[in-house]
Amino acid sequence: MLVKDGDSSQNSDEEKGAYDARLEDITQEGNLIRGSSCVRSCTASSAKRFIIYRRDWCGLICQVLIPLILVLFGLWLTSGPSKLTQSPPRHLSTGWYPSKQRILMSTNPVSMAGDGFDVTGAELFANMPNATTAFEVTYVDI
Amino acid sequence: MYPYRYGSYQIYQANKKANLYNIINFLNVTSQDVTAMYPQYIYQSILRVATGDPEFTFDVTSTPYPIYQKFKDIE
Repeated sequence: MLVKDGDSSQNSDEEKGAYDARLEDITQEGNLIRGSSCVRSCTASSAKRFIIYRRDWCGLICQVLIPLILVLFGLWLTSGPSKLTQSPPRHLSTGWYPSKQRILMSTNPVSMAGDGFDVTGAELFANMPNATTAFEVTYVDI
Repeated sequence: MYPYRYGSYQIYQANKKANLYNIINFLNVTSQDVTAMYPQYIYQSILRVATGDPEFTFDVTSTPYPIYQKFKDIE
């Protein structure tokens, strides 16, 4: 620690020079970490991590061993024989649903032109495939 | 509530003279097929109304992609 004593109040050039030199030395000591390479930093971090793991076995198991085992298990699963089978083409039909499908439909269009050519919900429903046997419609005014 | 409701239609615009059909389809996607089925139902209905032909049929067949050769090679 740099402390000026009572004599330094004389402000002589010699003392001022000595004070600056000591201050420069202290500054350089504080920058010893500067200039370390990336490899040294990584090595030091790895060593630190290894020392921590030596004290903390639970952390080693949870953070390294179990994830490693799970990844290897996943790789083993994906390398096994596949059970995928080719599905047949499927024709879109109302018959894929076993019972009547309950649907809601607007009674009238929200935005009506009012020219007599607006199509109502009942007209659209009547033209749906298998309308009478496959659906059970409820009209709502929205 | 059973039986479940898998889809509904809200008609925003439907006009035979302007041939303008804007219909909103609400889907309950807990069934994997509704995204294909329910639009298909209303497409056919719109085409029948627009063409004026009640026997008009619009058939769609969904064909799955083949299995990757990589998976076949493992077997």
